[in-house]
Amino acid sequence: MAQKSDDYAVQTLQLTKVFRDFWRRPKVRAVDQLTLDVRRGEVFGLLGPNGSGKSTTIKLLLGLLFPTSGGIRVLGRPPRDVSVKARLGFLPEETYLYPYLNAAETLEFFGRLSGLSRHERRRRVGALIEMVGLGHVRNRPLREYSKGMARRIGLAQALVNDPELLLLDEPTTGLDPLGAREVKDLILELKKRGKTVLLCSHLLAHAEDVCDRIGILYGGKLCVSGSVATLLAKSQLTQITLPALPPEETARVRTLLGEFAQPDAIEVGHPVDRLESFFLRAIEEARQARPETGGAAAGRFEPSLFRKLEAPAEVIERLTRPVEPPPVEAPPPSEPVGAEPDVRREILERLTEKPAAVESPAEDTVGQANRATEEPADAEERRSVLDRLVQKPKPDSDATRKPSP
Amino acid sequence: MTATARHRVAALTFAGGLVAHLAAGGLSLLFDAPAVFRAVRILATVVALGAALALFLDRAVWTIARNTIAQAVRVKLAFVIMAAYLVLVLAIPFTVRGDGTLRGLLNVVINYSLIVGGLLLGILSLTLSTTSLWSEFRDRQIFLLEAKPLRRWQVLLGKLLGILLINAALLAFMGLVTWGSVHYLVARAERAAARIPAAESFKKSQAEKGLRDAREQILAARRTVLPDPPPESDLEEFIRRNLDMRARQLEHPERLPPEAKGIPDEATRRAIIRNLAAAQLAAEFRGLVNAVPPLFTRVWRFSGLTAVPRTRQATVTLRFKFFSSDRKSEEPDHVCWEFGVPNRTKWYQSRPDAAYLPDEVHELQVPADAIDQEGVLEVRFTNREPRKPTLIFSSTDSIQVLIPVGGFAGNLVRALAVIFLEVLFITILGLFCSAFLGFPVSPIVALAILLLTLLASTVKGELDKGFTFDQNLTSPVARAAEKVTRVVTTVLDAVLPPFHKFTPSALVSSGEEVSLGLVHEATWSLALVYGGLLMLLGMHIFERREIGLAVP
Repeated sequence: MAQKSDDYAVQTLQLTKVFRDFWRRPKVRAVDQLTLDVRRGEVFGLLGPNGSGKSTTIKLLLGLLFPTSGGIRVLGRPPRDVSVKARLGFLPEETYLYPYLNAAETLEFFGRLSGLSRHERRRRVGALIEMVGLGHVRNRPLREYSKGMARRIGLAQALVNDPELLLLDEPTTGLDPLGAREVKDLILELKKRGKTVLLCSHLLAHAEDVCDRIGILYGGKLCVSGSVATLLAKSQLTQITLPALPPEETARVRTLLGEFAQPDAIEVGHPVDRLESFFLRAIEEARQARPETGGAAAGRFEPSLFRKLEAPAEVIERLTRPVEPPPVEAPPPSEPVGAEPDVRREILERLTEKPAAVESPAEDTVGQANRATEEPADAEERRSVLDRLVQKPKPDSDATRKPSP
Repeated sequence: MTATARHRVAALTFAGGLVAHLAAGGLSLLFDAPAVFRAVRILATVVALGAALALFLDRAVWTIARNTIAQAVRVKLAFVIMAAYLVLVLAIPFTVRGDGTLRGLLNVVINYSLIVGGLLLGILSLTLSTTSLWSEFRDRQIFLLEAKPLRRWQVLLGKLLGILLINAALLAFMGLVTWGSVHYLVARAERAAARIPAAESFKKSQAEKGLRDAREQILAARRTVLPDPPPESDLEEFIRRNLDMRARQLEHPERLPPEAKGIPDEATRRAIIRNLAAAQLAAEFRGLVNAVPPLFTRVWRFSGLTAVPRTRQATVTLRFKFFSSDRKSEEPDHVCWEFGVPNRTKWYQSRPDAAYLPDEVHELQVPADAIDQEGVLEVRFTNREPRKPTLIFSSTDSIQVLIPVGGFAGNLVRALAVIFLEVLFITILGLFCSAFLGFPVSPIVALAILLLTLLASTVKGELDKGFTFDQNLTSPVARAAEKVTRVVTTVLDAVLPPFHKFTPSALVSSGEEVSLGLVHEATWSLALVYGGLLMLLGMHIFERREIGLAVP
């Protein structure tokens, strides 16, 4: 069935951007005849190697660059329309913030620019800072932040106006594997609330984890586009997974399978884990073996929002945080680790309202796998904070009412 | 009303105010109703100013302004300027002696404080205006601003507002320092005068006179009154008497002016010659009335001095400057000044041995009871110099009377307002340049325009006074260069803002009134016409700039 233009958050038609030199001679064709449709409520990954035109496309969508030819519609309007910007969040590939402001001032500044009321700003700024795990450094100027911390505050500013559409340019750059995982979980949570995410990345594993659909750019042209599940499925092969078998049983299985395929087309062995899963599990085990101390969780995303991320302090500190958090902000070292989530939970309870019922949007493969292990209590808390920060798009909003020209 | 509609109404009202002001200026040339047109112009200025201020009443603009202030404060630029000002200004009362009088010292302190303050603020404004927007490009924060629901003109206007608020705060600080320095110096002189024992009466009276002079001549706002022009009847009589003879002289083939050459019609040629002769005689008359030959007396009449209390204690100031036809002499010329209206007021005369150096400005205090009931003061000048030179008052403002109309504090505030408006234009110029140029091109271009503005008026002034590239005009290159310079400076002077008209530090340091009219003119000219139009152009360019390309 043909999609209506209202169903798309982003549309480009034959979009071309040619960079010219001083004498107006064409120098580089950064984007070439790009026709792209990002549906509302999906996570779309724009992938490609460096210099393939991803960031130029994002700049065109934001109105930072003007197209040489072709058309752009963002949320049904031209990209420079102010009403579009009010419903948009943008995280650039590097965090371009004011180094002399602190976290709270930064979010306050962008909240004011987004037209939030004083009450709304106060509520959202505090909650966002807690959500990205920067409560302990909220009064330090951003020039003192590590790259990972700056990335977190950058993400918070992108969410300050509760956007319908998020443009994330390399969102996991500068983050350690845990931070990257947290961001991916956040993207999935946003998708669950009906938000649209356009994600640019050259880290394929990250895109694979969160994207419903991807498009691969090369030389400014869209080479491939489609759903991740469809594109990655090897339909000519069949995979059977069994518990570990002794060698003689393995031989029997191989003989049995010989009836269905040539012996050289059959592979029997132990599946290989993904490095990210292995890393996260190792961190989890280390944490179990050595309880983290006071400031250990500082600098992480809110654990009650993102399960599996209550990571041990030393490992995280070593991996991600060159700047030590101020000791005065840290809880007493003697406090047991298990108490920390409770403290944060208290903050969240103070900040959040009664959780709203969440509809289950279209499932995606990765999301299903993650949610299979989710604790109900964690999920409830995560929803409560996100419900405060993120609203579902209203069905009668302008975006859905206005016909796209 | 939506924000966009409000902005449109404000912009249209601003444009309407400018048009109304210009229209009133044009119509005043056709119709003789100066009071009406003056009122219209003031009203139009107020309307345009109100509309411009309404554009600032916008949350996004204020948010950007707050951030600009935070940047200036946290990178400590504003504090550096304040510290530099304090170091430069507070040292003055202790290091400069002036001409040895309190009046001279106050003149130097006020002039220097305001000039240094204006210069520092100009540097700060140019720096902030050209780097603030550029730093948003350099550090790419402009990408994030562009992703938020605000228009680019709001960014530019926010920057302007932020810098203006910083300037206003610093200017208030500088004003307080100047005011404090002046009052400290006066209080110090008063204490010194009080310590002089009564026995040393001459010294004490001199000290008290110094204090009185300082109060009357510096710590005051004195309005300038120029002498009444010579009656038209005198000019007409002079022309009537001499016109026939002058016309006959011009009809001589060797003296025939170029305008009359080659005209076959006798009547037309004669009419042209008579017109030229009349113009020459009018110019000669102006020269004659300003020249005082030996032992001749020249009388000037000043009217409209009704604001001055006609008592002996009150004084008005006569300021004058004359040239001597004896250019080689460096001696003072002996003259006699007389004040008062015969048979109507008291009559005052300068000392018989009074002598004044030519080419220098002198001031005399004249008791106010020399002014008659109708506010008229007659001033007589007699050339008594034994060397018999002619003494010449070259221009119309080489003799003037200054009457007190206000105090120092109000005058200082108005001077600061004019400086603020000058700095406002510099800020807008910087923002305009940075709207389409990068760093360091934008500050260089802005500085070049600023220097050109100052230079053009100075060069034009010198050319108007008679400066020439080649005295004998023998070199065709020099003639051509002079012609080109005249055209260029005339065009630049007409196009660029008239900074030379506004000299608030010179006025307030010499106790002259910085009038509300001058503040109004600076508001209209620097802030609304030049500043407003430049800002609109800058916003227009910035709205259309491809920001993604501009980022380094």
